[in-house]
Amino acid sequence: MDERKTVLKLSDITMQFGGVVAVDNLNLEVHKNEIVGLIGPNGAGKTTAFNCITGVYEPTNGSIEINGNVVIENHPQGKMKDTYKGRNQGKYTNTLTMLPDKVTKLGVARTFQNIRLFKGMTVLENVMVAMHMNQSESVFGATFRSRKARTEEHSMREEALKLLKKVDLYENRDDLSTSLPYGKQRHLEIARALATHPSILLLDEPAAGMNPQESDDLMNFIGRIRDEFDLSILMIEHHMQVIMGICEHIYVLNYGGQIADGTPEEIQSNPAVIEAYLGGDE
Amino acid sequence: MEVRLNKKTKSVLSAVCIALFLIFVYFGDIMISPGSSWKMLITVIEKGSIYALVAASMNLLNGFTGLFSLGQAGFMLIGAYTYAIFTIPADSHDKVYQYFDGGLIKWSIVEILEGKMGVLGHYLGMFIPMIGAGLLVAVIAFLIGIPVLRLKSDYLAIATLGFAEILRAFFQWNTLGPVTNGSNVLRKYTTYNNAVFPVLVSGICIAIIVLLINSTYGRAFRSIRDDEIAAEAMGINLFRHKQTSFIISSFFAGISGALLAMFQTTINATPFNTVMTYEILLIVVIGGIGSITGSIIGAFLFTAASEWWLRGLDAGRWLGISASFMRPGFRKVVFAVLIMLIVLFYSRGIMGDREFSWDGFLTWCRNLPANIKAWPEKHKAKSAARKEARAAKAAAKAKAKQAKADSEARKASGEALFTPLPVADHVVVFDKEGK
Repeated sequence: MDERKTVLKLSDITMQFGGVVAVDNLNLEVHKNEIVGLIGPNGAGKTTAFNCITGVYEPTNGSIEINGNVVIENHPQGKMKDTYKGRNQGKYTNTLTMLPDKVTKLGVARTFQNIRLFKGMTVLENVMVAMHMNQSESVFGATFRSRKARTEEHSMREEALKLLKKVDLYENRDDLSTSLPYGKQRHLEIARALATHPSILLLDEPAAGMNPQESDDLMNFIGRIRDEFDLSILMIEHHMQVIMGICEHIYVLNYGGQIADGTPEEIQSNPAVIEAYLGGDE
Repeated sequence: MEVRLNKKTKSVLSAVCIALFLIFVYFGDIMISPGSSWKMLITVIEKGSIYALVAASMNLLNGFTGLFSLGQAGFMLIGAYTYAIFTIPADSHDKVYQYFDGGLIKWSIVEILEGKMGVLGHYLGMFIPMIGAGLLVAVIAFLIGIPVLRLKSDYLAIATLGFAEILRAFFQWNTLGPVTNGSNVLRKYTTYNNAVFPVLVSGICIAIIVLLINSTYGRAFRSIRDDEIAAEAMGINLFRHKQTSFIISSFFAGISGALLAMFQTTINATPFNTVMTYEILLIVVIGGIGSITGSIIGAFLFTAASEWWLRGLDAGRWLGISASFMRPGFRKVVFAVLIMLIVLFYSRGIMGDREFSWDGFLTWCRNLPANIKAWPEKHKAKSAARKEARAAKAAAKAKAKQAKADSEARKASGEALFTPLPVADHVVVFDKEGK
């Protein structure tokens, strides 16, 4: 198996909303500098899995390790004890929750399926917002422009500009974020995620709505930032060309459950995957 | 044509304008005799600057952090009372608190400090309760914020409005009479003696708000306004930042409450009701949600209209017109109609989310004559376009009518309504097995 260090590990993650099991017993590992794909038909629970990792949802059961530490863990409680339909009930006993901003501070950054840029702000400001959490000046110091606030602001601006140069958005730095063309908005969202200094990057359908040429560029771009920023990447994607092109390991979900995992070649010839995507024989 | 000035020219221009304005207000207040109708201008500047401060503080919350809060009047009320209670001169207590045995607090900070430090002590004695009023409001906002800021949009507005009303009732509670004088007015407390005082204090406070908005925290606030989920994913602690914004906004609302107490010379909890909050909201909306400049302009326009220009509407005679429906309260009707018109046709307000800048202002001024000259042409082009659109619409209507008549005629004559699809020469059948 893979000798590299595991940076993100999901164990038995189950997310149940009322009577609906959106993610059912998902086990997933991302190793250092690996690009991992998460695929599945619509409604398979991919984005829900992302929301569990980033702390938007509290999983019903299971645990999540980031860089070797368990940061999120839960087990069915209260009413859920009786209505729980998943497996491994009783295996976990702790309750650890984490808000999305804390998860981001641990080095997990994400992008969104439907672009969520800050509309009223320029490209540069969008990136600088992501650096806000790393500055240490108090609100008083920042308001009255203390020496520390000024140096921090200056270094934030320099770093943001450097980052924008790397993602080819330097010329657009003073444009409103929403005035950018679609492909560049995607790039900006990734740049904004990179500004939080992540070690793990979660990309939610980065190639959605892109033509083949743009998807090719995106594949190169993702490979490039992985090397340049020393990242491990977990991505949800529907474009098979992109997934098969850059992912080293792929997990397939269907109806919340995990139906396969393996290298792109294995996945392509896996009968369960073909059945999920194309429908089985009658 | 665009005007671009260098930084130094801009700051000199700003400094000169601010100095001239302050000098004008200072001497205006001294020189203009109380009977003159121009005295109204000074009153409008005084009250306008106080409203500008509270509108800017509300804009920090509503326009920059995206928290729809309606508690501003309640916070002003606490500020006004805190200031008044600690500055009533010792020998006036018996008169003011006549139903409560002269009240509980029998001293005045102003007098104590004046006795020790003279004139400096007098002003220090005014500043300390004013800042104290702000700080007390900030503490109360902190406590209210813990439960309330977990709510979103309309629910937050309802909760803050409710808290403001509770505060009002609380201050009128008879049991607190020895401190708040129950439902009676507080008066005889120390006030400023020149209009330049509220203008200066509001100006400094608004400058601080602007500095905050342009800092890294301001950026974080705006990111929460634009997209909470994305802001949280960027590592911004939503609750802490909302709380910070709420506390700072309330602090300045408290200061403006203290200034309003000084302006009015007597205060009572009754007028600090929802109507007052809506007045402030009206100013923010007229000026533009997300623009401090807009809030300032809106505050002065609103105050001038309600105190000066539209006064006649209540008195029965306005611009030479007198009518029987111009009775007290008619002014409010006009305001209601105005806000409806603004929301319907001009929802971005005067400034939208832009701010004043010398470059923008001078460019606008320089282009103004050309724009005015071009206006008839533009108007003509617009009306021509409208005429064309109307003609096209009429033509389309006529065509549809004609088509309908045709189909009716065809139906009547028994002709087929749809032409059948052409049949392919040969059909290829795909077998599932591929045989």
